[in-house]
Amino acid sequence: MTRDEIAAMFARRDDAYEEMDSAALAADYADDAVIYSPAGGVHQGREAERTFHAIFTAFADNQRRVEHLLIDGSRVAEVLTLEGTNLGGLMGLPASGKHFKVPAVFLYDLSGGKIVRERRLYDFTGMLVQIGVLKARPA
Amino acid sequence: MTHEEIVELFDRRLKAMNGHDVGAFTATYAETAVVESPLGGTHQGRAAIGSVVEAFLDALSDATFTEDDLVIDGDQVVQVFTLSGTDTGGLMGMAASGKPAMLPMVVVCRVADGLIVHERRIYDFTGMLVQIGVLKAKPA
Repeated sequence: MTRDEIAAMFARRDDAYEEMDSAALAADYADDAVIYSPAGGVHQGREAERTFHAIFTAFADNQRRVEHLLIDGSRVAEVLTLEGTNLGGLMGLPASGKHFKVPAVFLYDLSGGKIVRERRLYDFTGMLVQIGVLKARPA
Repeated sequence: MTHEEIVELFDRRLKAMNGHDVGAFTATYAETAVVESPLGGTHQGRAAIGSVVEAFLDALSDATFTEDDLVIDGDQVVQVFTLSGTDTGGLMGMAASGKPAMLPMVVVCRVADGLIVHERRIYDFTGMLVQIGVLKAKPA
């Protein structure tokens, strides 16, 4: 893919995230893509739609603001802020109504116009504390 | 800077981290560089950058760092590495717990004239504090 094609793909994904369009987001993955997600666990591209749906159900006001998009050949890094309110419950727990905001980096490997690997990195434990799934205190 | 120069800079930075060489590490930053860090807050200048990393390396005296990814676009760099270490020296005023930590870390950097001028560190800081026993976490 050219740099312009990659930039267009990620602009389209931004729109899909805004619309919480799980199917459109999942369509960008190869079936056997590997997605490393703190919230969704390690899963394959064919499972991406279900995982996106679960995240959008948990955080119905989900927002992501991309600050930088780095394109280096077939590798991409998004530097972004994730934000949302736990309106739909998570990990089997009822909704807490609590808000979270964390900086994050999402890394992608592309091949044949598809995402073949994605790794999402952020303070997941801090996010769970912010939304009330975990309680943390000094040891 | 060229792509190759940036790769060399971040290789050198990682070698300094693995050698626990604070002087060589801070030499990869501009004199007025700004670092945003969960551990050290926002700090500026080589002396402050060195103090924060020294406190970290004193706490996790066997810390090693393995590069997982390096993405370069113009003057922007994202480096991902895995930290592995043990809390042998105490962090944030706590006594050493002897507990190990292993987690991925990301640095988002801007470079100029051969040096890092801005860096933002992103990682599961809360999870790291739980791993080494500074914090206790339980289901709410």
